[in-house]
Amino acid sequence: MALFQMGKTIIRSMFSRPATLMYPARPAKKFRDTRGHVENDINRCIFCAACQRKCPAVAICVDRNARTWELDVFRCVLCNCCVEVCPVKCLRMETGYTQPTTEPEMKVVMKQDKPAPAAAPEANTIKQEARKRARPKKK
Amino acid sequence: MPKRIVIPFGPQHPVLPEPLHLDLVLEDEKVVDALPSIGYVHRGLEKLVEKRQFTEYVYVIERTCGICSFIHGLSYCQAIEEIMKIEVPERALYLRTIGSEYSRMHSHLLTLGLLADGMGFESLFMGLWKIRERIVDRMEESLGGRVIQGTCKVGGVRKDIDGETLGRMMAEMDDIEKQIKSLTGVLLKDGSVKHRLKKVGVISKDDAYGLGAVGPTARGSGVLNDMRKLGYAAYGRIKFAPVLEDGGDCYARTAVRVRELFQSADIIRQCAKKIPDGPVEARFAGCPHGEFFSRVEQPRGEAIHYAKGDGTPYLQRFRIRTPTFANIPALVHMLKGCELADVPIIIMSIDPCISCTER
Amino acid sequence: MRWESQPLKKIAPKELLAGVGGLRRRGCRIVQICCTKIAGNRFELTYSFDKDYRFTSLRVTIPAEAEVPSITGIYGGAFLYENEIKELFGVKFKGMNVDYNGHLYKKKTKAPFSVETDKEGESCQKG
Repeated sequence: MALFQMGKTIIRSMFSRPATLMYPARPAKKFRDTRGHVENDINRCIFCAACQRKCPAVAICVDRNARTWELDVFRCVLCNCCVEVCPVKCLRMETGYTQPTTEPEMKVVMKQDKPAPAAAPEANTIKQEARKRARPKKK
Repeated sequence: MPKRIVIPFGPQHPVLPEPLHLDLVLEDEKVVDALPSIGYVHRGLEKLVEKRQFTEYVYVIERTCGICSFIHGLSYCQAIEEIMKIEVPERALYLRTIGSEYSRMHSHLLTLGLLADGMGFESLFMGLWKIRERIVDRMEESLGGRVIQGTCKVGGVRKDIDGETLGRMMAEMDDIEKQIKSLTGVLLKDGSVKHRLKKVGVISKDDAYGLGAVGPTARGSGVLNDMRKLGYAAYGRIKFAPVLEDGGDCYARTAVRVRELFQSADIIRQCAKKIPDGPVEARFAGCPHGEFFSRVEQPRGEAIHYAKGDGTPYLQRFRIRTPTFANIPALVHMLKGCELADVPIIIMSIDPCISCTER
Repeated sequence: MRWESQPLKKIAPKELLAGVGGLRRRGCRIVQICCTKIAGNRFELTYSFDKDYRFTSLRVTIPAEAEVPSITGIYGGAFLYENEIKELFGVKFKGMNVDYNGHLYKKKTKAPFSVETDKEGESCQKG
């Protein structure tokens, strides 16, 4: 009978663990493939700006001359597009949601440690980097 | 002549999941007329087609609605694939079907929970959402997102589900089905719930068909209308029969949704048995040139995606006609003649998804 | 997988009511009405109908200032589609049963979809 069905459910939930999670006091559930936040291995980045062109939320800003890669976390919708188009695979999607904040904006700015390449015209930078990577193999 | 007053219902109301405004014309306690008013969450998504290339526009379309997100993405991809004549691999079709049916189960459990909450039956609401949590966890584990799965892309799916995860999901499905059975038994057999749902919000078969109602709203009145029978994705290879009920009242529509939950579980099991190995995406080149109407069955009814391309990477026109848009005239018809206290239940029984309606 | 064919018939605006009435007598239900802006400041309206999973459409092409007869006399539930097209594109309809007079959506500009924006994507904030 329906009455006893709800009675059974209520008594069972009195003696078992709560089904709700005390988020954000406890961390959120996550699985291996959860899309949580985007991370960049900045020292391998070649600043081709493919991720900036493909991002549907216009959240990434790449400055080739200053060697910086900037992500506006509030704009990012975790679509995984940038990770898929990156030619050197330095971007990856990690689990773990971004913590809530009280600031009005949140940007992740990453600057590459390597010194900028000596005054080379922009159009040839990618070709030069590729040649530099290929050179040791030829020896 | 009895005095008539106008009561505004919404856009903020405890039962409404999304903002909808109705001006109810009342004579004493009976509603004689209703005027719907939408437009509180209009985001102009169809205009954004001019600023996003057709390969990226799928992310915008997925975010039209949170509850029906997977099937929106699926329908868009189907429209573009049909214009460009891209052959999607078999495994991708089966994965899309599995994702759609999980999405349907999640949506029906959400709606039934909200309907119970609208009646004041909070413990049933919590119990149904507890089961929904398990479904949403399975979607996150396999596809990557709880609400926005981000799976479909033009040419296939972006992510594969490996055999081990699929096996685990099927093993859990038996337990989920048992729990659904016991809780929805309460919804369909309990005396006070039946008293609130039976003979409330009646719409006849001819009226439902003439006003253009779709989905469980139409199937609850006996109108045979299930777009899955068109055979898109892998539905052509799965055996299932559309669920029909005769009453035309809120109880019939709820019963349709409950029976569709079990039907979805059965379809998922059939897909998991038949899914072949192979690639999950097809490469393509070029831009769409042509037009197509892609029709799919969302949890709330028939949705149509119309895409028109002119050979450039930006589509010329994209239009979504969502199921709630077609159900609103039927809702207005149902509201005439009911009591004021029944209005929230009737609105919840058509399952309004206003963010879909207004894009 | 190949879909069913979707026949589309182009008709003149004055044949619209007769065509829609014929489909109603055959037992079709209205599925959607779509408006697209095409070159030369013209609009093309596509009326779609369905019966037993068979899909047909009628297409009417009109200049921007023309008035189209409303089909709400035949299909009462079509008022939402026509009001939406009237608000977003500025197409005039004659004889609607429910007319929102431009207040269906809350928007700033009049007929926003009839104005075309640049086809360029947005650049990032730094420019």
